[in-house]
Amino acid sequence: MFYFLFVRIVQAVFALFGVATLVFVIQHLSGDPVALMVPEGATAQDIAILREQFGFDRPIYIQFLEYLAGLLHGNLGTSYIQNIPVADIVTSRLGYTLQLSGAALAIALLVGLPIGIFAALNRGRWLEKPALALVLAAQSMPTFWSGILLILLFAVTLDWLPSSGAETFTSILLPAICLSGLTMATFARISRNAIVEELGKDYVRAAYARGQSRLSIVLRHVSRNAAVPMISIVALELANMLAGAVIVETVFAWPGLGLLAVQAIQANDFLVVQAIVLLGAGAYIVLNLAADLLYGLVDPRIKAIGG
Amino acid sequence: MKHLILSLVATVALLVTSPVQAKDKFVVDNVQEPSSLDPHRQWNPDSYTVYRNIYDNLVTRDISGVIVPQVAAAWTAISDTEVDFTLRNDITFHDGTALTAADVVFSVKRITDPKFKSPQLGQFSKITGAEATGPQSVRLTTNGPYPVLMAQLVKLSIVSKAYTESVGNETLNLTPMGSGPYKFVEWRKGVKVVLERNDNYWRGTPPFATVEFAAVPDAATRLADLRTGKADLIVGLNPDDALQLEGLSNVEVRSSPTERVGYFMMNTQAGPLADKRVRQAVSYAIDRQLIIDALLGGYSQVTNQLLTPAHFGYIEGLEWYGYDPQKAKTLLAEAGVGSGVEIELITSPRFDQRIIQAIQQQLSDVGITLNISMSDMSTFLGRRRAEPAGFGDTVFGRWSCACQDADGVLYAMFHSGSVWSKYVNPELDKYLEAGRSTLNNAKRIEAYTEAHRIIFEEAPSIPLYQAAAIYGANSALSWSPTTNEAVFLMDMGWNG
Amino acid sequence: MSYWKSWRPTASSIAILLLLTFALAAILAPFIAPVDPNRQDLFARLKPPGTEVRDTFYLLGTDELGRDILSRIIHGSRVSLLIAITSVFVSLIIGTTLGVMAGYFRGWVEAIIMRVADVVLSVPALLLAIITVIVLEPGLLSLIAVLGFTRWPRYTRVAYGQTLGVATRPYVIAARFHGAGAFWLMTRHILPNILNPLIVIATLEFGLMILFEAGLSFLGLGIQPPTASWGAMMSVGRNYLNTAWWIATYPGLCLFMLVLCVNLLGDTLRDRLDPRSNYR
Repeated sequence: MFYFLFVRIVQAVFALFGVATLVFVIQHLSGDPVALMVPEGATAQDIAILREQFGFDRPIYIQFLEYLAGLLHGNLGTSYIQNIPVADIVTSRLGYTLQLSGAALAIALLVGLPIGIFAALNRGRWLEKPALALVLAAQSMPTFWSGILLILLFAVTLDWLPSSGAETFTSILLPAICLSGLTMATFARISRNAIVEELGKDYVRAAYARGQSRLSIVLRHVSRNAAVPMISIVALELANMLAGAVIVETVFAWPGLGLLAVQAIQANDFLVVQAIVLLGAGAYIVLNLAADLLYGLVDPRIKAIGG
Repeated sequence: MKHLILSLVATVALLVTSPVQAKDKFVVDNVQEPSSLDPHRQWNPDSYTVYRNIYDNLVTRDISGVIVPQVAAAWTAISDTEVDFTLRNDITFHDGTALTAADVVFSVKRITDPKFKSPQLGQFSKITGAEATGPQSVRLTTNGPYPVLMAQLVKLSIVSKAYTESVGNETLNLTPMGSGPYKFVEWRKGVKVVLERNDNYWRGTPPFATVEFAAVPDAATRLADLRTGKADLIVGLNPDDALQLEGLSNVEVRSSPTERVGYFMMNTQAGPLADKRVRQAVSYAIDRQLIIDALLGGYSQVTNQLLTPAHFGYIEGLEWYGYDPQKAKTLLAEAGVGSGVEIELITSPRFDQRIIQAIQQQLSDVGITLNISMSDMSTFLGRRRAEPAGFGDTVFGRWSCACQDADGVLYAMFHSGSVWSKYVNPELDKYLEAGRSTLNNAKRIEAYTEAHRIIFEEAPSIPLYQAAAIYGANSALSWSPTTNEAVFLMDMGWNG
Repeated sequence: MSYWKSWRPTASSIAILLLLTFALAAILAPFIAPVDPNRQDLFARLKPPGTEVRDTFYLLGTDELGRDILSRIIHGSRVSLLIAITSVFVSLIIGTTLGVMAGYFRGWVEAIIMRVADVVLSVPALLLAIITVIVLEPGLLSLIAVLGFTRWPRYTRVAYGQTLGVATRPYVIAARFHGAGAFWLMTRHILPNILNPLIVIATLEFGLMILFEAGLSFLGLGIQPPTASWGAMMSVGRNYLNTAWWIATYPGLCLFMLVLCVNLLGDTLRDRLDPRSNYR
């Protein structure tokens, strides 16, 4: 068990290093922030002076080494644009991202799983149709579209919820609902199919013959087996949230890391982008590890632990 | 199930949110949050809109665009390179200390210090000396006669020397302290900046008790905010957005022409556009009025030069090539350019792609194929400032120097030494240099008149329109937008 | 012969029919579109469906530059379908192959494949999109490249998990013991048993690819104007929801229909391919 963990941690470090290098190289390929900072009409000389002051005129491998050295000391650097430590910027926005992803995941599970179970139980009957239709609608609508529709309905027309921002307690609802749509559809579909597949198995027939209701069969026996593909999907979907969150955060002006990342990328604020990417990568790797461990626990046939 | 959750939520929401709009609080929706509240350390309207209400500048512009005193009460040029400023003696910073010459000198030195890394360095780099000649008087020395000095000083905010030195640059950024109409209260990163009224403001009492600047990147969401009353003023609308506010009773569109000029610049050094006739043909092919009426909602105006009436150096009554596709085809034939000639346009998402597409269509109507090369802003700027060989053939943009002076536009656009220029003409260079090296306004106008003449003949760049800034506002707000796109809270108030 | 007599329209056959219609529309686009999809008419901007301006009848209305929505939808189907089919195909093949290999061979093969998959998955798709756009100009090619690069790990993860389950079954272990070749085992025994969730994912991904393109258009990095694609139209159209709702709604409806059909088809495929399910 510990050997397994150790190996995975070593691999994780390599993966993170790979990500850091990849992102560094790509960012520098696209130029430096000075060009984007200066007013229109700035002369070549103005730009050169600023570049020198920031250190962008040094050879790239020196800049890379300096960056790595900083990372090893736990120093994420200072933002070129905002002029304050990157760590401060990221931590101030991290909470919002966690809130939004958490809320969206919760809604997706709370709504998606019951729909999936409902659809699986009613397979072949007409009741299945509206459930699937709802899922399909959620799956085929871009978030920037559903976002503005939600705002127009709930904020402008009904005046029930705020149209943007993160000020009040209720501000999280619309963005979370919007973000959860696609994931909800995924959960509904996958769980439905997994359950349907399990329902065809012999042990289910046996239980049914013994007099158990279909619902209790699903809840007690089928869920455990159906959970196997679900676990990796949940981990994947959490990673999805960060990418999908960019658009939702833009539409709803939700101040999370997605929005920060887009703005930092556009301004070539390298260090901020790298910090966010590394954070996301680290989080994802941890989630993956947890998912793999869970796999081993849920399905004892898989000798994931111990190799 | 989803409906159940939503109706539960809605009930809670009704209890929590309050639909009544407080008139004491004024909310502005910006596009992005300020990158920095240090007035010397950034160059973007989102930051400027906020800090400009916290700080006073050395001089400012009034509603008609004339430079008027602010911190400096009066000034005289004592020589070609020296200007003496007399400061007001009744200005205090928000912490109660008086604003003196030492603070002005400190501010100038700070922004011109390369180690400070101000993006605005280039705008003030001609100032080589600043010294306090008395407690309320300052002398600035420039490197040679610099006619644009006053226009640039409109952009210089005065910070407190004592405060900055005691708290350091980073804290000044996060908790600014100035002498302006509003005091800094709080900056919730990513969410909003909160300011409160400075009751001791020397100019009078500011209108609102509290002001909040929120950051809402998406235009459709800003419109929703205005409609729900969450915001009282929203910025950054385009004409199609403004359409959505028509017919609504409690909100309205406000707009003003600005000093931004939409232009279509061509590469005169390489490719098919090196021939003057081809460039003129391109100009004849573009129907500027149609673009303005159809795409810009009539908010903008055609301009026949690369300046607007707000600029010094704008000459009344200048002509430009009109819309004449027949003439365009004739010129192309004369220049020996066959139908289907391909030229490239470089651009990036931040520019209005509808206008580019409309121009593309109009050019194809006369036989020119415009290939659009889209890239991200950084790559685009790299090509924009490259040597003519790497530049492509054309670019569309809206130029603004924020200085309202011909030098800030024409010199950068056309002088052979400028990285933004793709045109080389020693005669034009001569006039542009003449325009920036004398303080005599009449001589400057002479030089620029010649410059305009050359630009017209050679057509290295086509002036398209004077852009307008469009805002959405609560109907009860009394405020008219100005040409320099400043959102000065002092100029606002509630009706009735 | 008797098959046709007892043929009843089922949901899946309607789905196939609709998909064929879309495919035909895409292939025959230049012939069936009423007007040139890129032809602007600045005098005919934002006209509602059913308007006629200067001798041209716009069945579904016009967009912000006066172009015919119907023609753009027909031509856009080419682009959107091409994107969806190519990227799903590419990522399915790559992802499944790598996933099965990782689950079958274990050891260092598994380690490398899964960690590379992790790296790809952990870098936000957006950044990868911008990267690709820097190297190749935005457009169809870079879009397919981005989608291909970012989506394969999803199949890998699931294929890996499923392969683990199947490879530990007694008959597979027995076959290995008896010297059965890896390739034969993977294709004949493992692959058919793990197809179910993979097909589900592929059908989910199909519509998702078009949505992804729409998202990139929202950020200015998708299909470049003036080329029409459903995603780009939806992205532009959202700014006109109040004033010209038809710009975004019709492409949206088409996308909905497409996703519906693909999912129905996917369900049928899954049911038929699963050797153990009770397919009626």
